[in-house]
Amino acid sequence: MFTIGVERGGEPVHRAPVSVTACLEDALFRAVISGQIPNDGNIPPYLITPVWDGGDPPAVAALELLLGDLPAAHYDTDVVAPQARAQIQGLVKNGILEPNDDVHWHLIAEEAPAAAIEPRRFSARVSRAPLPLEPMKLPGAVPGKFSVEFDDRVLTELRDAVAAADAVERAWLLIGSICHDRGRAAAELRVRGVVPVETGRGGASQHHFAFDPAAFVAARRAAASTVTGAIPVGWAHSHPPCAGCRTTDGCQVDTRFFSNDDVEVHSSAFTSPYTVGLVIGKVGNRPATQLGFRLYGWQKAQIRERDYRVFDE
Amino acid sequence: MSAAVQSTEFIDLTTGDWEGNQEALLERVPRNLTVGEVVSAGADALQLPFSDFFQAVLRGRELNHGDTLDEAGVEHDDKIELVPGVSAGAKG
Repeated sequence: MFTIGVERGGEPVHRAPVSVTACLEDALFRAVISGQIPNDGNIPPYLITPVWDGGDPPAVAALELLLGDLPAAHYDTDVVAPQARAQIQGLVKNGILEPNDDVHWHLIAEEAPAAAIEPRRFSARVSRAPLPLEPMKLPGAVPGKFSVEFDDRVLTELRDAVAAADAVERAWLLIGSICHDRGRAAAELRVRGVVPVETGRGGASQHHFAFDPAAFVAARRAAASTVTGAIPVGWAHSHPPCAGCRTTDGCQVDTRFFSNDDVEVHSSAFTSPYTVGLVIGKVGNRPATQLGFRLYGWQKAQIRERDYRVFDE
Repeated sequence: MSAAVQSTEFIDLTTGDWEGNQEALLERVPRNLTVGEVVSAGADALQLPFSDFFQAVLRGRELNHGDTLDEAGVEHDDKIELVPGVSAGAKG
């Protein structure tokens, strides 16, 4: 089992289990797209083990994933960084850590102690859906690649909605489809629509948007009836221009970025490896009225900025 | 204890991630278990990251973690969707 160890000034203060399933999701997705395993919802036998750094004492330098008969895949320990940050934030919230403490975290691999494995009080049988792929010829696709395309109307709709919302963050579900050309071992995410997400109990402001759990489910259901055959493929949200942007012509602030909170939203709510997160905000060297986009998504089990194309149907 | 009485003490239910990728069928779940305990068991079975964050949504209604399944109105064969309670933002 893997745990995150949190230290303050070199002294351990906290230890908690951590999930490394993002690595498995990444490997499964790439293996299905490339046709190495069938898209039937079954997971071949797999093993995730630590790669030690050779130090004394040894530390986890990376993770190695063996999936079926496929070559080993390696992942950076930063795949658990969002979970580590969330744990540290929780410790600060509970008064165990102070906001300005000198805090570090590291990934720990160990045998699960027998006492830690509590027998379940009831049985659990897990089933998994196949990836929602639409078989299709993608003549221009680069073999082995997963690309993203946005319908131009989606970007226009989002830009107009953000401009109308003034200085309050807003959020949407992105809906679309995942086209898969098995012959070329390539896939393409096509974003074809948006569904607004209602604000949760925490409200929304210039700097935050609280998701209501029931609103996620409601937006997903609405998505199913908005564009035929479309599924939720990610989310979009706005980062309004700062106060300086509105009063200073030359304000260079660029609000198109994924904050730690945004990474947390994506890591917990959009765990499918094909999902993307779009940020709408002010472009650094342009006036506050000219909004732009940046796109983020899963790459090797971490959330990184990625490119996209725009299509006009 | 009769079989009839015993059968009302336990229910089968499904927990699933809100994206619809995975489900866990939980069998013979005691009705007096709290929603929080079921969320924890479901998130554990599905190996969801950030398992502390998850809320339970039943038929579009968010459930209270402290309620028992009975109090929350969870019935045999119901499906509880596990959804993270999170906030996005430019500051965090």
